[in-house]
Amino acid sequence: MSIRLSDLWGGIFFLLLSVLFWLQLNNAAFEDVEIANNPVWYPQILLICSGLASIILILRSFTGKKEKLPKPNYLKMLIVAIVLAVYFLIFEQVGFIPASIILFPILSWILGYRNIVVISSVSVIFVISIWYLFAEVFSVRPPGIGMDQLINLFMGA
Amino acid sequence: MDNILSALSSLADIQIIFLILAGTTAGIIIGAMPGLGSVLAITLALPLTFVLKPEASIILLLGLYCGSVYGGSLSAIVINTPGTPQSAATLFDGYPMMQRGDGGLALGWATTGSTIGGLIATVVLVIAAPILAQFGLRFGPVEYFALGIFALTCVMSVSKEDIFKGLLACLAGLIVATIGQDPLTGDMRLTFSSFELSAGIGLVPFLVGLFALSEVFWRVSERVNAPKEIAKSSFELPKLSEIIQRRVVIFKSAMIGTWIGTLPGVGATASSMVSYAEAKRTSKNKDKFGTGEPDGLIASETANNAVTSGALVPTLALGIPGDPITAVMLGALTIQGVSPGPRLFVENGELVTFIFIGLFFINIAMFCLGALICPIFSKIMRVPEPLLLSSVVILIAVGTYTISYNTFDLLVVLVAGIVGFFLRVAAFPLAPIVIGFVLGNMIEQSLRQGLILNQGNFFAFWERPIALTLLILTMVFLCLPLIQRFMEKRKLNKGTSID
Repeated sequence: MSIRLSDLWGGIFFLLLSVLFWLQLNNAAFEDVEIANNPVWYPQILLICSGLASIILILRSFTGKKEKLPKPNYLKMLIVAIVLAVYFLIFEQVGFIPASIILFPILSWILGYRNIVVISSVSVIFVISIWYLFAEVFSVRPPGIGMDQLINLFMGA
Repeated sequence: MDNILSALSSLADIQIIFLILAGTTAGIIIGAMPGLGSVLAITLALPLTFVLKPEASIILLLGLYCGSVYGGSLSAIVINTPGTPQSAATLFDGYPMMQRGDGGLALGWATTGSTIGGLIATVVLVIAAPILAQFGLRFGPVEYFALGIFALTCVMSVSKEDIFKGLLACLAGLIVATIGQDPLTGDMRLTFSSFELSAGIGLVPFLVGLFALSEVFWRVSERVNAPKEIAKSSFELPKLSEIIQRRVVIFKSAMIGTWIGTLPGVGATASSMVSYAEAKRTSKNKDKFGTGEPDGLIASETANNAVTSGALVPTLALGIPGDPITAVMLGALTIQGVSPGPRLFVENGELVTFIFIGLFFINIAMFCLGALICPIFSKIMRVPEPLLLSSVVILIAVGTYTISYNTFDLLVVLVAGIVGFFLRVAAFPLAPIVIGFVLGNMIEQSLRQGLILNQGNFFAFWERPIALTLLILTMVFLCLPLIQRFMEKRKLNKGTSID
């Protein structure tokens, strides 16, 4: 992508965002309220500024630099974003330990690391250490089944 | 005196000692990993601050801050890649020293310079911050508004690549800060009828997503992953006589770093470059700079660590962040219910003294830990990046989620991460968003309170001398880059017409 194109996309993105937010603020109930007590007045000023700045950025894109920006690998990023979205969504239901022990190898594999022994041992050790750090040192229990419950489960069995 | 004793007794607490050591160590390691940097180190630790006491949180963040700035020098010297931008000038002479077999001494000089720089700057902080805060006590809402607007000018310097995009990013940060309940009337705004948004966007999920997760996405999507050759590192402290011999360059660099640190938005990268240039200008060995001259390395490292305490002067005394790192620190203090600014020195004198003394201990810890970490540094650098990034993601998730046990926060992290990634792709600087987001509330509140106090009269803002001075300074700072650009163009045109 060139700087010109980045200006164009950036300008369009911020302009659309400004319009969307403006429509949210367009509330008739505050029309007669004096400025200092009007909750929508200040954000509206900001939105006007950002709208204008976005238009200038779009206009600049027609005359701006043609210099190229580094091209990232969107596909890899998208795959990681989807994996993370799933991880974040199941985080509460499945629990920290199982979800993270599943995520760690998948993510490491996607990112190009192929040593299964290292991946599996590091994922287990890291996740358990983080659980202990949060649950025991900081007294903040991550969601789901904990190491204490797992140990009890095995001891009971 | 009571404050000093109380601060010392807090510092003797085993938890605080552990956090100084853990924070500084983690800071050094994260700082040494190219591309991760100080902001990531601090944003990753932000969720932890919720479960810690204010003193413990602050000491952890300060340890991470100082450690990460110093840590950047290790990779600059050993693998010719600065771990943080602040250490860019370090590699000019650090790596050549490594190549000629003086790597251990280069690491020793970097550690010594960083420690002395940090200590000198802390002394300046102790002296200057209370004076500035005393002056700040005269501030009312009008002055705070002018101060907030003045603080926004640092956006100009953190977005040198493209000031216009920086301003737009800052506006975006200011707008995001208005989401949720109106601070004065309690009315809902920009919530899109979502209950979760009524409390506004959380500082931690927003920052963690914008910086840490977008960094993960960015590194994942990078096409070039050529591994750098890692030399075996050792550690050798310079002799005391050598340190005394180079006292002028050390002291001068520390003062440059401290001074630049106090200026909003200039930052450690600029300070190390300025200090390097000044050391070269005044050195007898000018020609040796760039070929492994210790003075160059000392100048850069002393100055960039002096910035850490220097940047805390306006942050603590006036509540305005000097750079993105102190903007995040400001947010962390607010989370703890501590409001940086002139009143901090009156209401939380004990905490301020604790910060001052804590900084001394952190710098000393940094020296000792540096000596321990440097010899094993090459092993740390061999951690494969996929494993590192996977660990960062897990830390992001557990750290953010456990703040309020709310999946919505994870959604904010993801959205902020994706937006942050695309903004990086489009060459938008991220730091102005944070600066806008952190200062947004203060600017809005003080503006509207000022208007209420002055019966809606905008001109009253220009009638108060302090506010007027700050607003004029804002104008000057805003126009300065444009004037500079105009002058450069004129010079260039003159040059070409002469040719």
